[in-house]
Amino acid sequence: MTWLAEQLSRIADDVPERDLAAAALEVHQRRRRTFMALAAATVVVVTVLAGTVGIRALPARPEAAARPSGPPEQSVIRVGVVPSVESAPVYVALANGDFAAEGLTVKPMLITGPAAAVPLLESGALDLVQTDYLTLFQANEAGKKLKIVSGMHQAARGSAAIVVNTQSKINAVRDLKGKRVAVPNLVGLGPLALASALKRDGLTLREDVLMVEKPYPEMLKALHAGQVDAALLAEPFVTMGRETGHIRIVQEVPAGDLAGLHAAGMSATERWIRRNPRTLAAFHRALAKAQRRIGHDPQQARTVLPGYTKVSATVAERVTLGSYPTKLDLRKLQRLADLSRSHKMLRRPVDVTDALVKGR
Amino acid sequence: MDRDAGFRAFVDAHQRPLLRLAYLLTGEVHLAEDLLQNVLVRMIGRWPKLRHVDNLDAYARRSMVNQYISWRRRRGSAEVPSAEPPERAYACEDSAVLRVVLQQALMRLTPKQRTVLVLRFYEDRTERDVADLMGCSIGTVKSQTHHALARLRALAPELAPRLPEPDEPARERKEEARP
Repeated sequence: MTWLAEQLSRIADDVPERDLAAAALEVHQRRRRTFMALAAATVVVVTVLAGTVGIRALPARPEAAARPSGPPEQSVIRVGVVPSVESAPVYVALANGDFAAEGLTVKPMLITGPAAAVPLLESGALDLVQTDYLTLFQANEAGKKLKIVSGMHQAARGSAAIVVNTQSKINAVRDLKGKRVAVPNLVGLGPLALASALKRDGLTLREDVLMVEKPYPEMLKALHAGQVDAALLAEPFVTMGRETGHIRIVQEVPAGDLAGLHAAGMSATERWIRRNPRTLAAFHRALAKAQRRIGHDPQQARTVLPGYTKVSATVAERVTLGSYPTKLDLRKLQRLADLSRSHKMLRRPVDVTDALVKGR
Repeated sequence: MDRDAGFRAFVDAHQRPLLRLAYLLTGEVHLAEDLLQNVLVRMIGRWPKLRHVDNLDAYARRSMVNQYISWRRRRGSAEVPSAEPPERAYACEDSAVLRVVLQQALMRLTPKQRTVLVLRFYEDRTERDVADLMGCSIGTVKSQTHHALARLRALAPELAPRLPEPDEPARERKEEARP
């Protein structure tokens, strides 16, 4: 044996005894398991992908089938609306067949004002009624059980105004002292807007003016005939009166602390809401769709206005519309309730969430 | 399991010399164990096919040499040899000291040079066998052996008198001439 061989052999003697069989077998088993797991995972992934692709390739089911709720409990509903810009979404929905698409036949009934329609809602003559929110709070304070089911209209400056005859000597709000002022209803948002305007000029609603109840479409005639000295008028009648040269604007409302408030929504009795959840959901979807239509294209609202307010298309082109948000802003609603209370139009504080159907 | 039993028997019989070879190649116990384990795991994976292989020991050796050389190549030279061999102020005749010097010098060779030396002189294989195991020609074995010995002499001059002459032994020449 050479020297080199011997030295190498003695170097190799340094390596300790080891049994590597068990370790090698274990590594082998582990690799096998990993491989099997990977293979299984691959099979699952491929199967799922193939399934997904297969399902995508199938003809899509009609969208209506995705709606789990079933048909509305009540296919024909009667809805009370005030003939003004506020109720435009109802007519836009009718014009576009949005209610029909939900399986609903909606019959709009014109009302003089929200307060006047509360008894009709209570008796069941109407299923849904347009309301301003203060009227609803006041009605509930008087023991009614009404709820807001949808928001409809948000006022903008100029969507209503205190107006007088062009020859009238009334030039400012303070000149209204001792005068007769036409309002759509003796309670609700109209009187609040009037009170708010009077207060800024140091007058009060209770002592300084006499409110006369008149529906919007009759106010111009009443002014002309001298039955009232001024009127709280809403669009499109403000524009109509100005176009014909009959009236002059004294003060645009809502202004000041009332600016940008929710002006109108839909209400129903708690009993009706409980009995017709699917009808209500269908109505709400159709109305919201119409509100989005107006949001994208205000012309839609202008197009339907002449149909139910008897104004000309020319007038309809110029009215101040306001906006039609689908979601109610609870803070704005609460501000309205708090303002009403500061004007002593509500006796107790109101939590507006109680007045709202859940999810609106 | 029959398969496991056969594999175990093979490992029991051969793991000692295989681990020694791995240690001489790698110069480190853990690396040696890793190398041998890699070889063994490979072999258990294809054990059913290996039934037809006559000489499993040679198969394992070839597999180890191949893995070692390609493994070193893949990793680059992970070994950082110390810049200079340590200064030696001791009697060079002490065989234990010489062995340490040899071991250090060996680790400064290339993997192929080291493999050739270990197979040729430690395992005392013919050039033909070594060429078979390494999967290269006899000429390559010869030149690698030559370079390896020359480098060992250069790295550790005190070993020179004890190392084999580069161009002997005659045994190889005879073998070569045979076919």
